[in-house]
Amino acid sequence: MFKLLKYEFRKTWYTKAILLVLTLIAQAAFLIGVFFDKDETLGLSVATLVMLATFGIMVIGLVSLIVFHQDLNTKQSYMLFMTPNSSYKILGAKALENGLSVFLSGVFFALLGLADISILVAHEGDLMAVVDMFRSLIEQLQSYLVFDAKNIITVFFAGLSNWLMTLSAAFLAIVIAATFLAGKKFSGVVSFLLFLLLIWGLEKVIGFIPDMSTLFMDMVLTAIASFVLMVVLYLVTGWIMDKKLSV
Amino acid sequence: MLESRNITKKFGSKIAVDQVTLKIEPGYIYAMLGPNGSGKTTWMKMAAGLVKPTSGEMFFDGEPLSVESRRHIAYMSTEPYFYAWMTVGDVGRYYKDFFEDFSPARFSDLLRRMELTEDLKTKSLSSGMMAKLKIAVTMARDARVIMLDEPLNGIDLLAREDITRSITEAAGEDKAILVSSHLVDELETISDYAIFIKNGHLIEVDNIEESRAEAGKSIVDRYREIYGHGGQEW
Repeated sequence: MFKLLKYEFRKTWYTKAILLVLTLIAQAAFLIGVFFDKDETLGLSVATLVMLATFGIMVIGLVSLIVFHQDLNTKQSYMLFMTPNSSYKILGAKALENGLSVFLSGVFFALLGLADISILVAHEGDLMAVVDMFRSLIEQLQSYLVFDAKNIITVFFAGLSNWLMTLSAAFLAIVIAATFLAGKKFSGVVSFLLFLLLIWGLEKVIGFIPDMSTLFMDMVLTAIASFVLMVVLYLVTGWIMDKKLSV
Repeated sequence: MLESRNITKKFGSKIAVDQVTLKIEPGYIYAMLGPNGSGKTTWMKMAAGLVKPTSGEMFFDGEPLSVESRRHIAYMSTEPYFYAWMTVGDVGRYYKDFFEDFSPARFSDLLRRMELTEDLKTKSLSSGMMAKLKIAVTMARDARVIMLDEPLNGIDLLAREDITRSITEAAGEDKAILVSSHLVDELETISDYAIFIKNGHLIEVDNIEESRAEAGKSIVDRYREIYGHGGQEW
């Protein structure tokens, strides 16, 4: 599994390297804005960093799907399917690589955000004003949410489970296009519609979870439901690949 | 060792391989012959586990083909299949990572003989160089079944001699080597058996020596009889 993971990371490395370079450029602009008091540069760099953090993670997910599509529909598929690895293992490595990439990107951007706030506070010297601003914001939100480490971690993992469930639905749609719809006209369109239908169905299933009294319980149940659905999608996709996929 | 039982593969309404029952035994080199579209490549891909049969089954050591059998079957496809980001050295490292029977020393030796260097990017290789790399990485495996699909395509005369030499070097009592090619006369010198396939059907499997001694026919003669004008219809 480790070797498969290593090559899955390698396949998506260029995209991640481009994102990293763009982030470093935006970060350099942020530091120039802070230390040379260039407000316009500072504003632009903050907006770019926020955009990179938001869309960068989406891009990582999309690239993972493009690589999977290529791994099933081009001759490079032989590189994967000639090796003594089962379809379940190959699929698992892809999902795990994407989950880890999204997780690590999330942690990276969170740490960068914290570092940038600290730099800003240290440079401006008005530490108490910024702390007061955050305290007041949190107090307002706390009227209906409880912000503690437990809740933040649960929300993060519920989001990650939900993301992996969506990714698994996309994997299933791609595999159906490469097996049952192989060689058929409009297979790409049909597979995209199937993906939308799957997402709609999955959200309906998650919608059946009753509302709980706390955010924590809501998120725990959502995370569990997303995880169970992800496992079901993974097993179905692996089975189709194992029995029906010709590359 | 490797066996297909009534194996059929359809692509839509086209039948690529039709009810082929064939046994490949260790210790021999087989020449798989037939014109384009006769079903050779599809049969090999089913044996490599890349293509799923429509009906029938493929067996390795008496067991249905599985992920485990891929450890012992090496396949070289006629198309280039390496990742575009790879160098020649990366290809070797990839095979080393996934196949226990891969020998980096043998790979280096074959690269040297094929005049390839590890720093070359696969996407910049000419078709001849790509063909040599595919041969080198496949033959560097000590697999029990080696299948080479059109290994002599796009290769110059001198390199062809190197390739046929490496095929005979790789042959052994516990190994079966299966080679498909249009260059029938070049295969005749190194093969023990000739498998004739036409329109997805297995026509016959000839022992080359016996055929020459008993019927006085080379596989080139037999090829002409089967595929030439007025050849057997299927």
